[in-house]
Amino acid sequence: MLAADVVVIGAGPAGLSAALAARRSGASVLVLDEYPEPGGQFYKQLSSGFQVSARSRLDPDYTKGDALVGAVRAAGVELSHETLVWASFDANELAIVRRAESGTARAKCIVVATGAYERTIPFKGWDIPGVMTPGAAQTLVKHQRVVAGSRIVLAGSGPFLLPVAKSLLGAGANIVAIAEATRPESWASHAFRMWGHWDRLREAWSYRRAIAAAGIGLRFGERVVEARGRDALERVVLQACDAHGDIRTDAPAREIEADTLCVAYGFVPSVQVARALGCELTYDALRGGWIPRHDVLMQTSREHVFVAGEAAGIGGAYAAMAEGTLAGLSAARKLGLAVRASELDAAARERVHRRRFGDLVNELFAVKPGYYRAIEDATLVCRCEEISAGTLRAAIAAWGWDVNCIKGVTRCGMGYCQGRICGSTVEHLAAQVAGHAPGDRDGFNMRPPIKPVTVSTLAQLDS
Amino acid sequence: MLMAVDVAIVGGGVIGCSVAHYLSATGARVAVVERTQIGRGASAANSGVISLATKKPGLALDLALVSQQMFPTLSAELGYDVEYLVDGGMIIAQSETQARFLDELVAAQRSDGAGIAMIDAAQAIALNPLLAGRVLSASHCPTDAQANPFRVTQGFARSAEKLGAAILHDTAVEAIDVSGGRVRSVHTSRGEIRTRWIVNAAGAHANEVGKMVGVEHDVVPRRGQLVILEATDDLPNIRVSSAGALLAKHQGSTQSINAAFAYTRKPLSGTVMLGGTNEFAGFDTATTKTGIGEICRLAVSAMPYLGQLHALRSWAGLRPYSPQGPQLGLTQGPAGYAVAIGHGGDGVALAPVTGRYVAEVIAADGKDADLKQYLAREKARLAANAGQRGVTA
Ligand SMILES: Cc1cc2nc3c(=O)[nH]c(=O)nc-3n(C[C@H](O)[C@H](O)[C@H](O)COP(=O)(O)OP(=O)(O)OC[C@H]3O[C@@H](n4cnc5c(N)ncnc54)[C@H](O)[C@@H]3O)c2cc1C
Repeated sequence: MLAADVVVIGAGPAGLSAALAARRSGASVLVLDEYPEPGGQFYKQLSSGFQVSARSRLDPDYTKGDALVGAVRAAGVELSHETLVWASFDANELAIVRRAESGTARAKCIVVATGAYERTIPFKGWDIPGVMTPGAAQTLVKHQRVVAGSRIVLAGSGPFLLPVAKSLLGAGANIVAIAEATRPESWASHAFRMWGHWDRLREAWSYRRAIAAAGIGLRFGERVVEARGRDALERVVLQACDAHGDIRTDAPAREIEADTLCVAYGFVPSVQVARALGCELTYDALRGGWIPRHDVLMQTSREHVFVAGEAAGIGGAYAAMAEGTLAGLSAARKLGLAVRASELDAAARERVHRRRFGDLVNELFAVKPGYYRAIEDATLVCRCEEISAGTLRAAIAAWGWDVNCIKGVTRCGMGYCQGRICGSTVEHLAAQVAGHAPGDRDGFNMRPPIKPVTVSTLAQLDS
Repeated sequence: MLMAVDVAIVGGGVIGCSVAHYLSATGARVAVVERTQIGRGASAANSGVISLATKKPGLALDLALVSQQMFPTLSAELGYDVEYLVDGGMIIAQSETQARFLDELVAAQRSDGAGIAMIDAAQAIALNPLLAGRVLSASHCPTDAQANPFRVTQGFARSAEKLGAAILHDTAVEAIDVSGGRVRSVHTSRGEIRTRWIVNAAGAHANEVGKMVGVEHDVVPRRGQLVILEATDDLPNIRVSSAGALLAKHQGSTQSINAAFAYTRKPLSGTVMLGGTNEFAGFDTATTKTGIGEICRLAVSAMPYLGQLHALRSWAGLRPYSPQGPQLGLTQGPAGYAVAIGHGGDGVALAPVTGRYVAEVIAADGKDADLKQYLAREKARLAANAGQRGVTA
């Protein structure tokens, strides 16, 4: 059994910042993360969304990230890797699995910094080998020094496409096209809101420069409508879309030969752990969907549970670090440790500043209803159980908007990924068919384990 | 006033929806009043097993015999595939006590007309080669089956709706008006519904509704936890459960969590459902560390192969348990008050017969309502049909 005053779940920028702040305030701190050790794990963690995003953002100043890990270790924070939090059966206890061993971690306070995963929106051919998320392609480069293919198309939407392009280029990849679904015209009117965020703008500019230098065509207002290929990807079909994300059928489609397509539409907060802890959720479309309700000091509806970073709503690595620090300080304060008001204030101000930029970016790359309207009836939405959009739409029309009922009658979301990949799509489809806004109704129920655990491991659970 | 109907059914689980379907088919004006969503209670949290082998001889088994005969044609009747599949079931004895219990049970079940037989350990293992733990003997019922419980519930609800029933979700029954010894109307969170009849089909909440007409029922929530495993190819489809589960169920044991081994394969999805617990824990539907741990330990010891598979999810539901078993039709209370309660761990299997019987009682305006006679009649009819077709159990 593990135990600490503060247990932090997730070793990304938010979690590490929280750990450091809580530890420096005098708390004993344990960080749990499902990905493997050691050292540079900060940059090495695999695909699941946020960590990837954060890593890329930190890419230019690798040393800064290294310094954070170093500082966390030096401060005496305990790091437990390959440790999956799969449930919580008691407010102060997390059920964990570490290298196939079942165990628990007890905490007085908990910081949930579980990040996010990439938002995949189905389209014709998205299940062909060669189609992946930008995060997956970047992981291959960063982690295994492997470039995914010899002709790569990057598509979808969001600021993450650019750093992925840059890392791929750095590894010698041949990117043949980049298509961003939104249009920059709308950006100019927001210029004043970018004032003061110079570090973020400089970073964005460096990505643009790298892409321009490589002579890659970067098109806006264009989306993938189809991936073609018999056994593997051969061509990608792109077409212009309007401000709602609907395909402009009057515009000519463009076909590009490619063996790799990286596509995603931003990120979805990973809130399963928060839900397992009984935190109330609220829907924030701008910040990616369901998030734990929290106050300005990052406290959730459960008094001893705090949330930080992408798990609290998509906002980027800098917001994540600011929020981590704030959540760590809040947790320490909750424990009754002395936390200077000035320190708390500074952290809260930094958070607001960083969130402001994050929200601006979220607005510019907001998820459009057309992305979901465009899903053809024959396209699979749930790959695990092979359920098509048409089956889902018919089920919604017949049975109503309740996604848990739709899950029951169609099996959508019951497979290996437990609805992580299709959940958001099903909610959007249900909302569209039933004519309400996504988030007006509950999402899929959370049913432990959060990620699959073997029966023999669960058989070790003590009573 | 919200509406006026002949029958207001309280509860939109598999039971309430079945009653609504059969009643609507008689031409009655029906409203189903459901506090949350249709089929979100126990009816969304069970294994969907339709078994004779698990039934206690007497009322439960007779109901099951009649109900089971209704399943093969149910999809056609509802115009909706309820995914009814027959793969048979076994109950294994893992101790001497269990073996003796099974011998007696099967003898009694056979004399009630159920096609169940005892087999030895070798035969059991041949039927389900995953079995590797201690097995002394087993009972085998080749007609044991399963259906998709979501689809059974939704199928009944939609069919009822097509036949004219009003299905009200997000509507709670808060009070019932009784005057002159007869029910008059139900007060819901969305207004009053005038009605001649009320059917209490509130599952684990049956007592709450009973109180509204001054009746004390004895239904209590009995929690069952389940664990679902990842899909795999080529696992045996025949169901296996331990006689230990039955001992707990039939004896209503109040001890501990009463975890017992049950392996239910879902051939359409390829997953395996592991059961289950039988706990009295109030209305708490949380899964527990002990529950999941026990279920997995029992599974690994009976079928070691399962140890390597991943558990994908777990959940718990509340069986509407009554020490008397199912209570259907007219029991006590004012005129116009009927019940369909106390189905415990058998509500899906017994839903068709429950719906049909309660509908008949109400269609006859409550005259000559006698469940025992009804079942005797139905069983005789089934036997005659089987005889005509030259089929013997
Ligand atoms: C783990 C588990 C495994 C099981 N396995 C099987 C199996 O294999 N085979 C089998 O046949 N059965 C099985 N069962 C049992 C079966 O699920 C139940 O017997 C059956 O679902 C009961 O149906 P119901 O309609 O009575 O109750 P429910 O489905 O619970 O429906 C009752 C409804 O009444 C509503 N309600 C209550 N009060 C009010 C009110 N005041 N106003 C409005 N609405 C109200 C509730 O919201 C609820 O929706 C299992 C149960 C569990 C928990």
